[in-house]
Amino acid sequence: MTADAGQDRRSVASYGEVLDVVDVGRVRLTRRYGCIRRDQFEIVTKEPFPSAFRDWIASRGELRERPTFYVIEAPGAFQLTVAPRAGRAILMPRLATDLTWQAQTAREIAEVLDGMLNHGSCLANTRQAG
Amino acid sequence: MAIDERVIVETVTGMGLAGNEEGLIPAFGLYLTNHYADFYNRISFGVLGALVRENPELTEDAVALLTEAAHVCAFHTFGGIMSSVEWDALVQPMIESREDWVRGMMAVVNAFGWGRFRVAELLPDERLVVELRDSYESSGYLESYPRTDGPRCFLANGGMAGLMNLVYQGDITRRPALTEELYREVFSDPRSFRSRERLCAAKGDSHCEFVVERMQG
Ligand SMILES: [Zn+2]
Repeated sequence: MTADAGQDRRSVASYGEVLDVVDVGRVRLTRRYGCIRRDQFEIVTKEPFPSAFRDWIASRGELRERPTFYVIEAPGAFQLTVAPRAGRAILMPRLATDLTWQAQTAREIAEVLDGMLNHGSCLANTRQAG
Repeated sequence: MAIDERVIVETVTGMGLAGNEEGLIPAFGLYLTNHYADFYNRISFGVLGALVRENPELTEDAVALLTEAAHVCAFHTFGGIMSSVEWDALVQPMIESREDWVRGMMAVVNAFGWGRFRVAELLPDERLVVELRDSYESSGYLESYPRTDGPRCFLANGGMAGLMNLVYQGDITRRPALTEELYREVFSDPRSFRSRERLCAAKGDSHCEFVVERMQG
C-alpha cells in the first residue's frame, strides 16, 4: 500500500469507501476513506492475533484492555482497536499525521503481525513503525 | 451463549470512553459524542415548535423530518456499531440467531446510557415492541413544555425502525458498506419497517413504548 494508491479515488470518495485492499502475507489490509486528511485501516487475519502482537503494539502507546478486546492509544499518532480472537483490528490515525505516514504505519503493523503469524515471534526483522 | 446484557454493559462502561486530544471519541467504529441531552432536545423540539408556529399544518412534516433524521442516525450509528471490532469481540460471540443482533444492539444502547430499553416482543422479520424508561427526550420535553397529547421521542422511535431495517431489510449480518445508496434502498422499500411510539412519558404514560412493523406486511 503506497501513499498515493487510491489518490484518484479519494478526490471523489465518501466516508467509509474502500480505497484499496492489499494482502501483506497472511494479513489483509483494507484502506477506507475517512476525510480529506485521514484514512482508516482494517487489519484482518484468518487466525487469532498472537499475544506477542499485543505486547509489541502496547509499547507504542497506552494499552486499555477489556476481557475480549484491547485499545492502544498513541496520542498524536493513532488509536488501534483489536479483537484478537476475531482476528480483526481498526487503525484510526490522528489528524496530526499525514496520509503517507498513515499508510506506512498501517503497512508496518501488518508486516509485524504477518511476521509473528509466520514465525510465532515478534522478533522477525521488522522496521519500527513510526 | 445468549446475549448477556450485564457483560456487555459492564464491558462498555469500563472502556473509559473519553475524548482524545483531538476532542473525538473513536469507538465502535464511530466518532461518538458526549454532550448534553438538553442541548439535543432544545434543537429537536425547537425545530418542531418553529414549524408548528409557522403553520400548524406543518406538524406532520416536522415529525417526518425528525423521524428521517433518526432513520439516518440509526443506519450509520447502529450499522457502524454492528460492523465494529468491538462488536466482533464482545457481542458477536454471544449471537446465536438473527434476533440476537437486535438484543445485542439494545444492550449496547443501554450501556451508552441512552435510556433503559427493553425488548418486550420480537417476532422475527415481523414485529418489535420495545419499552423505554428514562427516555431523555420525554423527560427533557416535560422539563420545558407542558404535557402533550402526542409522543415526543422522535430519535428513539426512528432508531427502533432503523434497527429492524438494518437487521431484517439491509442484512447487516453480511456487513454491507453503509452507503447512501444502501440507505435509500433499505428505507424506501415499501416493505421496510416503521416505528410508532404507542406510549410516551411526555403524554403522561408511565414509560415510552415503540411498536415496529413493516409498512406493507
Ligand atoms: Zn416517549
